[in-house]
Amino acid sequence: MLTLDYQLDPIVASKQSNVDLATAAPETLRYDLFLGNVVLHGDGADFSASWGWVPVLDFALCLKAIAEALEHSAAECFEFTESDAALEFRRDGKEVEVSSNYAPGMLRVPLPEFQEQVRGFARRVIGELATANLRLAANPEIRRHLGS
Amino acid sequence: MISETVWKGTSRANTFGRPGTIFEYNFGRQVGVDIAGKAASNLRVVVSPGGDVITAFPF
Repeated sequence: MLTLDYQLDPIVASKQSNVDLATAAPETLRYDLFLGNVVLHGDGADFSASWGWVPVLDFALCLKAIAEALEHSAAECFEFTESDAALEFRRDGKEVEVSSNYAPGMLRVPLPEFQEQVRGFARRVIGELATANLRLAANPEIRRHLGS
Repeated sequence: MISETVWKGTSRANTFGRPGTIFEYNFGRQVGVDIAGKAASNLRVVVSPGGDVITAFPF
């Protein structure tokens, strides 16, 4: 069982109020906005990144893409945006092994459970961000993911 | 250093739907520290589709 969660940095969020979220470029959405901490832990390891600068929307979208890619690929790597910190996702039979280069341990999760949890997390992140920032829901980059 | 990385480094498409291109270059000397705090000689630069630098860091 994985725990996936996030906390936005309220100080950073207050500085974003001058950005028109409906027209913000994809790179702005993925790198500059909605910064905070992400939580990823389970039995055997804690890969939470409490660095305050992790782009939460980007994290959720990348994990969703990784969960889909692991359907056919043996391994995928998530690279954090502002350092060489990385999460490795490796297929081992019907399970996914998760490890990192910044925290010890390994998580093992059945692939269907991993995919379901990651999809749910991504839906929650997008839904909560779009609810709290109504113009974000009009952004074409976000509209591609709403309801998926 | 950012320009040198873009001119001389290897490039690859950004990952998982992120826009832009990643450039990486080994300077052959320490240019910073990595996530573990160890000496790092590589620089990674991410450039947007419009040519703006999105981020850069040693590794």
